[in-house]
Amino acid sequence: MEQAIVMGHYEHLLGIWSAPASCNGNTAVIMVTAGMLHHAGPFRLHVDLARGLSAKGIPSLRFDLSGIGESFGVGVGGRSLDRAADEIGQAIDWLAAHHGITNVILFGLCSGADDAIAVAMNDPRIVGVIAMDGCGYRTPKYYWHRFKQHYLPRMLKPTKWHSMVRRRFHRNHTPTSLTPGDDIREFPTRDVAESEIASLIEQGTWLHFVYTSGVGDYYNHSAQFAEMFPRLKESSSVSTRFFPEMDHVAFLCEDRETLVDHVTKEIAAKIVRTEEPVVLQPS
Amino acid sequence: MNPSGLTETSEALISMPELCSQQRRRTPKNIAIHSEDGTWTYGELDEAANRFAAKLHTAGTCHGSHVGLCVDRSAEAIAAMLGIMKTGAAFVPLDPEYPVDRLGYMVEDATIRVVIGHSHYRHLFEGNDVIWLDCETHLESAPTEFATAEIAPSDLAYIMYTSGSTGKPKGVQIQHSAFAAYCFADIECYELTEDDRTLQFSTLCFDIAIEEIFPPLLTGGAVVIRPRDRANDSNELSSIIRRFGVTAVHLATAYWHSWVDLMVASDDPIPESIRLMIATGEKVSVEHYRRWQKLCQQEVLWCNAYGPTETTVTATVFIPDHTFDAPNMPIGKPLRRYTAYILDDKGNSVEQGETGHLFIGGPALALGYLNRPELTEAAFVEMSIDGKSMRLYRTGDLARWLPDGNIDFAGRVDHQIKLGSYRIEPGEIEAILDQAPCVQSSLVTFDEVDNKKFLVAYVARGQQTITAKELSEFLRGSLPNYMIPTRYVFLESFPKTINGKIDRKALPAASEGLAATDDNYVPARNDLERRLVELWQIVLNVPEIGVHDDFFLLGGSSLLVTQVVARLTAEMDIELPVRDFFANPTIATLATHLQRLLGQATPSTYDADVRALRDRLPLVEASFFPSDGHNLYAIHYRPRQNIRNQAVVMCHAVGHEYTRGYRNLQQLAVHLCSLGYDVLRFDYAGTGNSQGDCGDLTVESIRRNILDAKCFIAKQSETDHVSAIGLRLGATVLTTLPDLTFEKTVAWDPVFDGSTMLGMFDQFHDQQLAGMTRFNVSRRASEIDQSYGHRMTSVKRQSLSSLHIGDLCEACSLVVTEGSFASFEESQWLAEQRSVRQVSDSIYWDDEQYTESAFSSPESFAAIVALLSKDSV
Repeated sequence: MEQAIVMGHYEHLLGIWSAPASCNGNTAVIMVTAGMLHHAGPFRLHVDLARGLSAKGIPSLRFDLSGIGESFGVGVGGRSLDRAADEIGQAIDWLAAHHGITNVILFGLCSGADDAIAVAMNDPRIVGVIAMDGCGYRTPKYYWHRFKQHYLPRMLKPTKWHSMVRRRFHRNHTPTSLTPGDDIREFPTRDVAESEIASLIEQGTWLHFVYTSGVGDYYNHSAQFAEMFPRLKESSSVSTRFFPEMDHVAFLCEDRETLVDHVTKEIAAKIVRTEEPVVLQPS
Repeated sequence: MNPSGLTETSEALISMPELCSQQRRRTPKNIAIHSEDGTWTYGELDEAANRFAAKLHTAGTCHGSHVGLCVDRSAEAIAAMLGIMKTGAAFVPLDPEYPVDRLGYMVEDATIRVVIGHSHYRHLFEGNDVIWLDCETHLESAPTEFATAEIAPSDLAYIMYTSGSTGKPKGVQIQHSAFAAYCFADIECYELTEDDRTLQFSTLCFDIAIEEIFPPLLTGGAVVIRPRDRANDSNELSSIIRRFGVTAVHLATAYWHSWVDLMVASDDPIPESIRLMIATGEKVSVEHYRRWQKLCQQEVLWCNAYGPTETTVTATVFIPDHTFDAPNMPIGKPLRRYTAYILDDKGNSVEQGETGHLFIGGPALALGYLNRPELTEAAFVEMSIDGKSMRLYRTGDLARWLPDGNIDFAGRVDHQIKLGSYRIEPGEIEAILDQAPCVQSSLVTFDEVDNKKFLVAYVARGQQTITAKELSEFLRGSLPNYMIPTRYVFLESFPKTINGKIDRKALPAASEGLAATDDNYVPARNDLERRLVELWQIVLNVPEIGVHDDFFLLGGSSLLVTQVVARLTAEMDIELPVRDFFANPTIATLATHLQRLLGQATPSTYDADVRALRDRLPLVEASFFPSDGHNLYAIHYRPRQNIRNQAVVMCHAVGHEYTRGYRNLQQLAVHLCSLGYDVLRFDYAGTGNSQGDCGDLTVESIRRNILDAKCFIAKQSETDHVSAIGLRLGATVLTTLPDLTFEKTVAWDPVFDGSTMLGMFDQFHDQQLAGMTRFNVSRRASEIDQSYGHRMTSVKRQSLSSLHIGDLCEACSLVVTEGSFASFEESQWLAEQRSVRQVSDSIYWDDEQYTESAFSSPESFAAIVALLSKDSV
């Protein structure tokens, strides 16, 4: 069952509440806006994920932050992290008020991952975070992998030389109407990130980091997470998964299937199954 | 010979269309008009004018007719002016900012039977018995020749309405002979050449616009049209000048003062392209001239121009030289073929230095006021000076001769008020005020603070009660914004002189007046708001401003916005783009915006301020509706006001093009809703948030979804008037529906045929697999049939491939962006369509670089809105 909703302090946030007929406990997933993308997600990733979760008895909410997708651009201003925290908080309030949800898991891709971790720091209702292509920091081994996996194949590929020469000598003038906006992500320093994650673990939040080769400019091998955050590698509350062939938004249908399958299984495994299935409160 | 190459007397013998025609023959390939939409050569301008002339002729316009012109600044507006004159008719500018009643009066007074206008102004004339010619549509008609009518020098070229003392505006009639005499005097004085680019900045209902447009077009030079949208720049004017390399700028004095202040505040030099700067309309502050000189790094011909509309445009000009050090800025000497006299009460010339009445003579005087013989007789007088009889215009201004032969302005004889570029007859405002409930009598005058004037209304209301806000709203029904007093001083009755006249000297000070503030007045709540209130009070001359008062309802204008921006920069060191000010027009929202810019905490009042903003946006309902076995996601935008009882269904693109276009459709929906339409956005089955599998999408399922969407919105909004807008594949499917499915259909960049679109999607997909840009390694095609991120099936491919754009019905129009319909077959087809709007928005659907780029589409929006609001397509 899916329900289209309008929520928020100003009736300005739009989204979809997706609920199975019955669910396990009082936990739901919120899909955090990825960059400037609509809440359906890139290539309907969030729709597929919601359906996958629903099939496992897990309800979810996908919605747009203000000024993005369907939501009205009121209340926009200040730092985007603050806005995201405030509006995700409003979404959790809605879940609590309408469906008695008290525990929330955030799934965030790209800037959505950054927002998810930042919000979880200050909201104890968030019990878990799945961060896809979240923050990352180059390590010494990163550079070896970068050469082997990125530069070498391209050096051996004549078409890449051709396109490089073409870019060098035939600079395109993008019309202003098509100039892409800067999607600037500012990661905290590595120490700060490590402390934030440790702090989340301490307060009982679990985290699962998914990385793809789409962020190969800062993350490119499966062991990199442990190299980045050595303090965290022994923690059972943090796990990672690296998909070396997948791109940043799971462009191919088979990649999306893999991703959705992985994320739903990960979430389902984390949700405490001690409670009996309950029928959700009607809205 | 004058600089144009024409002989001394030619202007007296031939009409403006003929003069323009001669110029076209001399410089057919010169650029006549630069605008954000592109350029027109003299030849193209003439062709466009011919189209208008031919349409007007068909509509019954002939020699001696008066044709209304209700347009924005644009190339087509200039073409329309020329086209009207080619038929032998006179054009009558009608300001769309005027209240409908005032426009109606002008239409009736000038016996206007035809109005040319931009389609979004059509509704202003619904109550008038006029033929409406849509500016944009008629430009799209086939090229045509038009034989210019026989025009005598004494025939009217245009009628320009100005404020009248009896409560109604009066039409100043300008003949072709006067028009030409003025133009050549202007060309000579300002040394215009074909290298000049003159900015068309003024609204077309001011005579400054005449000065900006026609003299340059008689020299082979270019007119640069001010862009429609505001620049994202604190100094909008400088930005426009630099963008287009403008050389000549005419500005109302008050605007020029503000511009200079802004440049001083932001330490911004005068744009280097300027060689001619003309300030006109009001007394120039010498202090500002000094500031200008300090800013000026190049040789600029700076002029102070003076001239009432009754002398066509400019009659005298003062050009200060390097020795200029007078405390007042003179208004100069008469232009060529103009004469000026300063006479005493008995009609005798005054001595140098003595103050007298200023009279202007020469061939550029107006014929008189339309249908107002008594006013004409009073203003245009036959005088005998030095034994020579001549026709002169009594300006109503006082002046004196300076030793160097220049004229010094000394004020007004009567109570006429010059406010910015407007000459206001207080009697016109008083006549309306006296009709308001509870008002016994009124008097309108002005006050001046820091060189800025504002209107003050004194109202005698006896023991009755009426508020400033009620009076302001009453006046807005009949008068343009610039004629609405800023302050209201209420009296039980007027003090009288011994002669029974109002004793003006005994009236209370204007500072005791009340502003027409909102009922829910909220005073400033913190230091920043108090600072902003003080700043607005200085700029607006309004004594009391609440934090939720709208700057523009308090009398603010774009001119005054630049003053606020300049003061913010100078006094608070804050660089605020002008566009940001327009988005935050209250003290409350502006303060919050500035606090955020400055990185300060959000104030506690933020919530109520944002709620006030939200209340201006549409009501919104999100839901699912059933169609073809699936539930489809739908968002219904409901208008809060101006409800039209008309609905619009939006039909989106598919695949990655859906992602590219959804935000544009959302913004278009909000915009249409603000215009009173109920709007439905929805997702087809298998797309977006709707149920269904992506691979099951077919043209047939889309058709069924669209038809169900129509029924859904018709029921939701309780209307039978449902139109549709489609983008890309959505547009194409709309063209294949039965003719009368929708009241109107706008197809925005429709896909020409489905197989080409699919081929393009597949090509993009393959490039992604092999390109090693998206993926770290080249990926092989999988077993899953997919195309650029979306699942395909053989049924879906077959269905989409079979789609071809349909024959457009009467009710269907096209909006086509730059680069679309570029193939031979497409362009051939496009040329055969009857209702096509080509816009310069760039989206580039077929360019692999932009497959995931959002885009801006302001022109497409404007075209869509215009097409939807047309009575018949």
